[in-house]
Amino acid sequence: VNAMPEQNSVYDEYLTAHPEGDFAVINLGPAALTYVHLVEPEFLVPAAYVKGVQVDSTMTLHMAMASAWEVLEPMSQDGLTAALGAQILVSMGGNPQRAAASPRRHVRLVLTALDAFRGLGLLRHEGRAYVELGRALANLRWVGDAVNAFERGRLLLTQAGDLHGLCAVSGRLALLMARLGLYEQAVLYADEGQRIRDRLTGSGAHGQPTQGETYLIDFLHHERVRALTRVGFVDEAETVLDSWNHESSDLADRFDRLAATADLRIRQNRGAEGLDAFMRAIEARFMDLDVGSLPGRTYYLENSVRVFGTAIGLALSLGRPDLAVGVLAAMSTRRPTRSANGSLSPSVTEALRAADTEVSELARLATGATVARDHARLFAYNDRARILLETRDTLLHEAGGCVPRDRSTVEELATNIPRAVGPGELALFYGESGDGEVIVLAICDGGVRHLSLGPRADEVARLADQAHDECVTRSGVNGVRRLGEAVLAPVADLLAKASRVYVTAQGALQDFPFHAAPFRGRPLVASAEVRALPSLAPLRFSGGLGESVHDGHPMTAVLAAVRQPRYELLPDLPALKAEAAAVREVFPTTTLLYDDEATAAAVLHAFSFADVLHLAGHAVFEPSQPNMARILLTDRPLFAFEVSCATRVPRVVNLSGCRAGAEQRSLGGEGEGLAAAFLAAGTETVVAPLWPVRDDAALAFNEALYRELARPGVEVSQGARHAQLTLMATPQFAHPGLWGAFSVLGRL
Amino acid sequence: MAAVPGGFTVRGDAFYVRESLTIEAGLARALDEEPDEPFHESTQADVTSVCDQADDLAANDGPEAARKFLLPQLQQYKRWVRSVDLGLAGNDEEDSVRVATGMRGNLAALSLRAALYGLRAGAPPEQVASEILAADALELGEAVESATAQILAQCLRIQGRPDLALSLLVRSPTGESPAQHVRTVLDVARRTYAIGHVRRVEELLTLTDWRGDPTGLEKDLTTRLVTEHEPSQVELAARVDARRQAFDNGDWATLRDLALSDVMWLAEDPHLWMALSVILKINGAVDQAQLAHDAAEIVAQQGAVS
Repeated sequence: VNAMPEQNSVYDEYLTAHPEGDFAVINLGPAALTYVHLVEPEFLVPAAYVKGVQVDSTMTLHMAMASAWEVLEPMSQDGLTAALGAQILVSMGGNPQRAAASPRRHVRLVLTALDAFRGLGLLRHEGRAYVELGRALANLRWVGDAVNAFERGRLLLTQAGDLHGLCAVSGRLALLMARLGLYEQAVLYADEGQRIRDRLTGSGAHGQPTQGETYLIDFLHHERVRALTRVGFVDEAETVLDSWNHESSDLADRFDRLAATADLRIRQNRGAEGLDAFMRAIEARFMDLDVGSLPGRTYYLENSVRVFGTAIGLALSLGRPDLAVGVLAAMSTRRPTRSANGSLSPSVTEALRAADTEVSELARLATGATVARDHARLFAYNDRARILLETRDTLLHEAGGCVPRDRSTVEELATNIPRAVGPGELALFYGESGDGEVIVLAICDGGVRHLSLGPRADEVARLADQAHDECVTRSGVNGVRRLGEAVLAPVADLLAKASRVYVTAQGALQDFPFHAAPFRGRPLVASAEVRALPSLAPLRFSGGLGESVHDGHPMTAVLAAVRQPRYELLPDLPALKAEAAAVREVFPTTTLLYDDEATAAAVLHAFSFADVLHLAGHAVFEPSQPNMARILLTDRPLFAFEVSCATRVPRVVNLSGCRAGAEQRSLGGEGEGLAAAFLAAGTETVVAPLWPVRDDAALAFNEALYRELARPGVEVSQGARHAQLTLMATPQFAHPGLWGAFSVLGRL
Repeated sequence: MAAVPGGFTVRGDAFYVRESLTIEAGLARALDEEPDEPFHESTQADVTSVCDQADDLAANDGPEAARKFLLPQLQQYKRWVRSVDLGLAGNDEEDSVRVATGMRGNLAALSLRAALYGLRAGAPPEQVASEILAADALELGEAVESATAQILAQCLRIQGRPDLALSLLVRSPTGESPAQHVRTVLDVARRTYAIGHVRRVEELLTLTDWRGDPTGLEKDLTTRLVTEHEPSQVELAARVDARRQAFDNGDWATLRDLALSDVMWLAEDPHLWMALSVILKINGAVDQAQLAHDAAEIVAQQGAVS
């Protein structure tokens, strides 16, 4: 850190012009160039990033590269310089999450880097920028231009004699061909990459491969094994896999190798071995993953959907639905929660404080963007929030400052989850199979049943759209009824015995109000409590089940209600005062933050001591910016990403605002959104509406809820169920779009 | 103002439009040969006349001239498709998806023609394959997919990988001429055998989905490379008696085996194909018989695969 740049580095000129800049130089030495997205051994990070670094601090390369992004804006003020081009490649190439967050921005920025290098005779720089451009275009699925970019990159890198770059071109083309289903071309390109790679000697100590080379080696082996497997040349695939196993170092990520092994075993009709390899692959990625943060996991999940999907399908075809449940639960681990008694080194504490400052700054900027309705900026801030969360979680992980994660294997989960579902309980998972079937996994009585829905996935999606429209517009119930009947029909015999039902639904069904689905002529909630779980993972965690809000010690409640924020012209919510009164009736010592008192600072402070938090006001959710989901407090919005960073959150949260329960969910993931942020940060139960609600309905629901909670021994979900039934029985709220909007998430 | 069919109107979110224009210009600088020329405002184009002109040139001046003529046209089409993808062109039609698909189809047609003339003119197979892949034509229907696979298979064959060509062909649709597909498959299978990769042929035969082989004839023939050895002259001579004996006994299964083996191992000959056709018909394999008959006619017209 703060080393001198290499002689003749493109950073020379910039550093000379800015000797006192707000940045630090991270110099990785010559081995840096084994990473194809680095064109110089060094890059810049904000000075604040390294300010608190001490001898015992841990800094990963990925964290440093994530920070490189923050320097782009000040650098761009100097116009188009080669240093800016190099920094763009670090910022995008080193951060696949950021690149994936906005593929168009990825293309635009890499084009800027190319413009910066053009005409300077920097063959390696320009060639590697073309490789990154090809990658960006491939992610957008602009195949023609991607192939063209890779070929141009290849030409320049050949002239530059850059073997690492050439290896990467071949690997990337192999990957692109495999994505297009052209496995023969993929074999050809991967073989070519292997031939180039054979000419490379390790750039690390004693001729060992560096981390960058390890990545390249794994990448090429992976593409070769996968393509040969798909083509059907299994003998050669086996040979390549052997040499991959032989060559693999401790630095390598085992996930790809094990997943490729699984694919090959399936091709060889050795299904049981394939499933075993899949499970070990999943364990390798999710049990031992040091970066266990929510955004990080979302990225990994998106890139692992095929593996998970195949593993689940294989488990089901082998008659092992329990293992399918284990796989689904393994996909979702909680984001790290800061340990109450964990002591952190001063440097980590300092770094966390710096991250928290950035969170506050981002909240300030995002407030400006929401008021200006600047969607482009909000989109960028959503991405920045993800990175901030990831950096912060990584700090907690690496410094040992978080509660140790459950490291159960898939098989252990497969055993433990059915056991965790108690007598009279039923857990249901709804998901879509690869061939358009909607599968149901029903967990009860210590076992798992694999069932299917009658309608196909496309019909279910159509009905789900119809049901959603009916609920939002409060007109008609045909979609809710037809879809409800369809989803409950396969489990009717199990529902008949259940008094409590947990539902995890993926895809089109994720917003469907299962509690409103008709069962024996009445909504399901009439015969059982219904709780939504963002994934099967919470079933892993025992404790909390069956506890009421009155569990032996006095509960501290805080209510924050804002009828009209100061910075947005929105309709008044006059019912909030009565809502506050309802809360106070149950919790007489409730701290009331009403209108002007309900500032973001006051609410964030309440997180530190409240057991129950009732937040009422206008709320906003956009699926493309789930981290920007917000509830509008008096002085500014409170954003989901701020909630995610809280060191403590209340046990029970009632979010009384439009769509506050909505979330953007990936396969098996906990999702992103306001309610999801509370759950991920440790809240046990969130009550929130899935779609916009009338404030008179919200008031009626909350009055009934709190009246019920005032009774000793009543659990939150029981209270919510009673409130739903009360509304349902009231003529003006009888439409499921009103009473059915309120959902219980989590497991208290 | 009335919209111009195939034309464009800049509309939508200002940031999005600005970014699209920046990307379009950036990609033109980075990837196109004549980046300074702005993209055309209208996407109306007559690809048939371009192809006709190319064919005339090929007939009069050779394939290289045709290819030379096609490549700049191709470049223009690529730029149009890019503009359509970015929402900067072709969005005045009511059905903009149809416009985009049409443009892609045109681009694919030109790419395939340019590649074909490229192979005839002796262009490096790597370059031709790269051009074909850049056309991104695999999702434009079976006819285009089949044509793409045929050209890629030819490139793979020239590159010394008939095994990969065989794999590609058995996974691809037959296209307009199933008989031609059979002949190409047999050719690359024989070449794979010839370079010592009989195990790869065997591995491909274990695959259940030979998409380009609905009658099963390709698989029946290719299997001979794995289950039999190349017949010697003595064995071939002995087949005359074996054939006569099978005929006398009405042993149509043996006759079928012998005919399949002849077609697979011996030089391509219309008579062998025709004999196979007759025997398949006797065996009740009508579709296979028709295919063999069509193959016989093509060999008679065009000669053996070179």
